[in-house]
Amino acid sequence: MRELNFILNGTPATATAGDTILDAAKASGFSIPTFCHSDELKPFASCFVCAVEVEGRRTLVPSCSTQIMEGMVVNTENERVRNARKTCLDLLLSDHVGDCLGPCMTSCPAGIDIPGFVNHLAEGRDREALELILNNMPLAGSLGRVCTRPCEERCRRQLVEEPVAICQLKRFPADQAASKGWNMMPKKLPAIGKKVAIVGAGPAGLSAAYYLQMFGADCTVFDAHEAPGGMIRYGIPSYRLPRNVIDQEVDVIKELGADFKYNTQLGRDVSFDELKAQYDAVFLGLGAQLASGMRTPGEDLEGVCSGIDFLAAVSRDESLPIGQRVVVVGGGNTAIDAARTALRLGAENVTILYRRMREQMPAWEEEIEDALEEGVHLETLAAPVKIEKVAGGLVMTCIRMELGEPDDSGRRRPVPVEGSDYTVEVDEIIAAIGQNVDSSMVSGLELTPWGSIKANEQTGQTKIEHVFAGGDCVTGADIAVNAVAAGRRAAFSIHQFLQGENVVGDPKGYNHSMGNLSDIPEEVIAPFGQVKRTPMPRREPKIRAKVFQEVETGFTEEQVRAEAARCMECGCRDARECSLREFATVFGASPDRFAGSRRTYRRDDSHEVLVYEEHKCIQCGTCVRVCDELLDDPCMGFAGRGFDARVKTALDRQLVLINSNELVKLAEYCPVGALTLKSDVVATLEPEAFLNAKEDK
Amino acid sequence: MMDTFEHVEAVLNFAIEREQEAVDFYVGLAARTENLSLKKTLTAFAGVEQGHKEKLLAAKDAELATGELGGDVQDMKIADYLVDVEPGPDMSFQDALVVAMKREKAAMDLYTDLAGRVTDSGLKALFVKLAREEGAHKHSFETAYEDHYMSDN
Repeated sequence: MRELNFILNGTPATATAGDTILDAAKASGFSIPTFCHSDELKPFASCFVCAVEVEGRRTLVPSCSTQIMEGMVVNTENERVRNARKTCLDLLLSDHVGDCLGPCMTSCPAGIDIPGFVNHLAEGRDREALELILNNMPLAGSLGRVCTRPCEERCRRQLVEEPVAICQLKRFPADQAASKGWNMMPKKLPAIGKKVAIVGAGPAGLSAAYYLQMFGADCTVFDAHEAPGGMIRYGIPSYRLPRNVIDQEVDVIKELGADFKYNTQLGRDVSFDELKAQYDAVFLGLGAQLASGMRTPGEDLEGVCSGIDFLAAVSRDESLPIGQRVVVVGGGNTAIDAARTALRLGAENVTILYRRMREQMPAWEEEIEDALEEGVHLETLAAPVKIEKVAGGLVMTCIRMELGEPDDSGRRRPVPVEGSDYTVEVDEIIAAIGQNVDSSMVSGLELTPWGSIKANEQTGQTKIEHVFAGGDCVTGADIAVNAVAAGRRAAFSIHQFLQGENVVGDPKGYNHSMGNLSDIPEEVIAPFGQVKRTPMPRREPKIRAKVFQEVETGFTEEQVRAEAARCMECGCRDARECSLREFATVFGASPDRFAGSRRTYRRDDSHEVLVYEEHKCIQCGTCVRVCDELLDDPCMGFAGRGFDARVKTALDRQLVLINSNELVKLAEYCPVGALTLKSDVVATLEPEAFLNAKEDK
Repeated sequence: MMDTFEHVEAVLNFAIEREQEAVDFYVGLAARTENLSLKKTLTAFAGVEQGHKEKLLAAKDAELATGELGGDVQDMKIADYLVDVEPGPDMSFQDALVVAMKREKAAMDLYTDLAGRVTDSGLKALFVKLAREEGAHKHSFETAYEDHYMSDN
């Protein structure tokens, strides 16, 4: 065959006569995106995403069907070509209907592949479920108990009846691993000979240590306390999170090689300057464990303490003495935990005093309910103004509050009612009104006025390039899953920094979404009959209020299978291989640029193994040509014209009515998630594929 | 006291002096602290007070003293029930906010008191206006305090 010389992206190249530009570019190491091209099929040139520039031609040409000519000058990656591809993708996305990732997954701060692990649980693959969780969350057992479940707020099952119990499901495989002694040690990349200091063994620090050890770094974790866990050990009582669960999860991080130095406080036992000098990188996961004082006269009296100090003391000794009459000031989770803990220590009368209305309490509603069931009293619209010592206890003067007019932010802030003072006699007062960051020991960093550390949101990097920060010390007191996510993001960033790469964190790929709950078409919900959410088994309030045994006892295996089967499997079976998603990520495409009417949701589930989702089809025609050219069986074809053209089954019959043994092959060729196999799990990664994917990057 | 303020100009001069005192107070504290973030905060507070002063100077020039009264500002009374803080270079941001809230409360109370003592309607209106201005400053410090130090309360 004759050899042809041509110029490819400014460099001389050769091709064989008859080669297409796409083939020749590929042979020279330039990958050109395409949907409709397949080596086994004749060129079709329908998707036009493979368009390239040939100098001398007025318009771009499809590289899949344009042959190389002697002396041709081809540009496959210049701005004009990239813009054209982006426009093409923007158009394809503009009427695309579907989700790449389920809304539960995109709303999980840690990005756990929720549809994936729930599917594994439904099918009895507990170990695979746990492996998938561990890709994003090393504390599955802990967070499976205490996460405030942002994922469930977006779960579409609530359009049928109630959200899937995602968080409680997550706990199950972690408990199985612990009780059955599974070895869940993750694979490690080779050692990179770099040392990382991690300050704080809370959720952020533990998460950072876990992934950094996997990436081959040597981590030393410093913590002021005598045991690991940070706020999940010293701020969450054991009846919600048993300590052995934390210990088992930390044991894995130790086995991965992280060295833990307890009773070592930054600024007292080790200085920030030493860490910066002696380690290749530093991660600050300091938490927000400084209680905001009430600043009320009498706050320093014996019998008055902060919620965070109280919970930490009880965490160390669950037999601490306590008075009979306890008032907890505040309405957050710490206040609820303190009140329920006081009951368990033997207090007879525990009251939560809150300045606003119950609906405004920042505590998790379920925890408030639990506290009330156990006998905690709630007094709203009241605040302490003075505390005095009297014989036999304390007298607290309180004032009634009322909500003022909405301010500029629309909030009604409480104001005292003049002359409404009243007094109560109590033995102990626990103030849990807020927590702050103590960043006094990290000089040289940019801080907010209230002391939290300023760090890049995507990477966790601070203004000192080898110092990263994440969790509560950056955000202020927040939910644990955000801290875990921040630790993981920082681990990616630190790894990149240590390797001399651009520090970008763990960037997310393109995600297409069907929208909010109110945007979901009726057809999506219709196939699902009502199945009640499985309630978590729990100890009776009267019994549990006196002991520190875990309140929630965990799902049985039967319950797990039933609950997991409620998942509607939002998200795409093809998310990890979909070319549309891949190219949209590469070219920064958006569905909003040409926003207009969208396709009609039309899902054909009738076939035993194949699913056709017409709303996801991009009309590349690959399946039509596979039927014609490879299967010699016209089971798929185009119907309609122009923008209304659709790929349909022959005579628009249901898939099940098409008599073809080869039909399942179509899923292999479909470049997007329109034709998929039911056996494919809606999951972004195969279990154990996490590090392989990392190595491939 | 009311004899001291026979003229609007005298009232404004008094208020301007008070604002200058406040500027000097925060600038002085900022200069003494080594805490960069607190230094920034105190400097910002000084800037706010400087802004008040400039507003008063402008009012003096334009004879705006009898102009529109500001709208009512909600008094959350957070400062009213907090223990006093001794200002110092080592104080926390929380302390700095307490100091600022209490200073604004004192100023608001002073102008409210003066408004109650004078009989001249122009002067009374001016004092009410100044009291409301100080109340608005107090409110902004109190909302910041509530958001950051009473988030669970």
